[in-house]
Amino acid sequence: MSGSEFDKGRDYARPPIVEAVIERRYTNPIEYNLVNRVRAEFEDEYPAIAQTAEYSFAFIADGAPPEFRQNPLGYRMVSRSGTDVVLATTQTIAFARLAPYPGWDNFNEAASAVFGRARKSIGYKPINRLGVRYVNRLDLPEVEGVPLGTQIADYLRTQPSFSDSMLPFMRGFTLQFGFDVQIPDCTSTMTVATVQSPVPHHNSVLLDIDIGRTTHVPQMERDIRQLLDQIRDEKNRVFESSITDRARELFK
Amino acid sequence: MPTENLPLEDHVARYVRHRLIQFDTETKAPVGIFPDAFQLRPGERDLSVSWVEYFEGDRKTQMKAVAEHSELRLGRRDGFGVLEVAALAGICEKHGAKVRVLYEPTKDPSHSAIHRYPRNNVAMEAELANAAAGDLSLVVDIRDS
Amino acid sequence: MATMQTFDAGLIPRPDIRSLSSGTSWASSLLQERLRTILQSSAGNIVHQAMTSLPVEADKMHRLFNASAALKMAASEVSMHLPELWRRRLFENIDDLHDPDDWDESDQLADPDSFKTFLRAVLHLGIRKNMMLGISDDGNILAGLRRGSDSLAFAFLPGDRIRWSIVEHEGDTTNSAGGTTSLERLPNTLKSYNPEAWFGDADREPTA
Repeated sequence: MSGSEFDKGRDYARPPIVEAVIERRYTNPIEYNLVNRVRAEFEDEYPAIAQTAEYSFAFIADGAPPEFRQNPLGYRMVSRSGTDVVLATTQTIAFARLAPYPGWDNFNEAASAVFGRARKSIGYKPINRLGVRYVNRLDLPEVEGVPLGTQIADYLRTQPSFSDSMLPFMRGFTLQFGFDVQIPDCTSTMTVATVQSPVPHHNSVLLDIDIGRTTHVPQMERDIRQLLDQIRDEKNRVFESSITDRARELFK
Repeated sequence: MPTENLPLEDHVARYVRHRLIQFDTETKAPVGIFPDAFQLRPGERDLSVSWVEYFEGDRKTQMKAVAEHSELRLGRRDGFGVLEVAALAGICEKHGAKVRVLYEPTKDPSHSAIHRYPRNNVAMEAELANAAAGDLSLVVDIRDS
Repeated sequence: MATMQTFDAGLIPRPDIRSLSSGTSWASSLLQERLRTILQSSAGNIVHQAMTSLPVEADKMHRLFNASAALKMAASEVSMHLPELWRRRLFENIDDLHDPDDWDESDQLADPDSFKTFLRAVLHLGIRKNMMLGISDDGNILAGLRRGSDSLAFAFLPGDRIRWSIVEHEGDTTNSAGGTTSLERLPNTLKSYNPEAWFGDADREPTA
């Protein structure tokens, strides 16, 4: 695909981006007291703090009652503006920007600043995955008499395929697949899913693109930023190749 | 203690929390009251108000006393909406409720209660709020007057 | 979609569900939950897993921070449909309504489901830049409009239900009405009350 194809995305007045995330995953989980240090570093500017934990019920042996396990992982911290989020756990440090999306440069700078401060507070920790995730939501105006599946096909090139007899009755789907991308050692996961629309008289579809590298992950900031720029361009290519011109009209 | 109906020509002040006051989006002045300020809360049987003329002096002095004697924790940006008793009773009657505004002092010597006040009469609550907004004062202004 | 029974019986292989970068929005949480449901398998002796977030601080200040953040994040989900200046004013309103000085410890905070009804109403009916906001004692978002001494007020309830009331003055006569209806039916309900005068100049792009 030519450069002009993925440059299209840079001029949308109303990009469908619901959330943009840059995540660094630690090679080895860090101690919880270090997670608390990160929390302390950010809690003034990100005062809405929730603890994230993993809960599970596990069957240990036949006849024994299931065991409830609670594993605290870290914190989700939301800024006063309500649009920036820092996720600090024993396994990852991530920066998320919720809509409205401010553009890549602004987002990447803000993320770098957060990672820099986190690094200062807990010291250098090697990472074994660098990921960029964009969750897009396309809000499609309802058209009377047009089945959901048919409508989605007008906007998306990446979607499940249904038989003619089933298409009119399709109520919703979740589709996830992985593929290689045009950056060495990077793979992508795309999830396309129908969701209840927050906009009256619309049908909504999520187009979630996650691109990451788990081998030869750069550790120096300069190299990380270079890779992130490449990932961002690749993400744009993947996004633009997944939508139709009719979808682009929604974002103007 | 004998039941005392408030005189029709007197006034009652209804406490309105800040978040039930409508502030003009440009000037930030208090311009209205949400009808919810005139709803009975769960468990409440009568609507609480303060008898303005219980206190002596001009209206400013009276309202200062209303605020001072209130048993509620008053925020600076909370307010009081004032209604003539006759007007209040008239609005309620128009919506099918023959209320009685009775003097019922507590630790607040001006405390009064509106009896037979109906629950969930949205139109009546809106009209009371609209009328009270015509004489609405913030606690900060009452105290500083 | 695979079921617990088919996993238990080993009849189908475990789906290749990939681990994604973290997410914080409603959308990413929904996807996470859906994919986790597909992944659950008793073969691993884990019958239910969930990630959850719970506020860490119970004091009033932090409860208010979390409450206002929740409303802003909900607004963020539809911000691409809202004029930027209006959204910023909405956020200022949210901050103003969550001033700790105006709240007691026992107060009920704003209901996010009520706020979602409010947002849907704004998207459905049009934006009025002079819409005044409040929060009721039971956590419902309130919106009010005034034209002179006339007033129109809404209480947004969860599930697209709206309690409305109107007061109009005609000379010496005051007319009022109110009720509860659905978001869908609200335009029809208000037909008798000259809705164009209230919503006719709905602002799509408010001036700075």
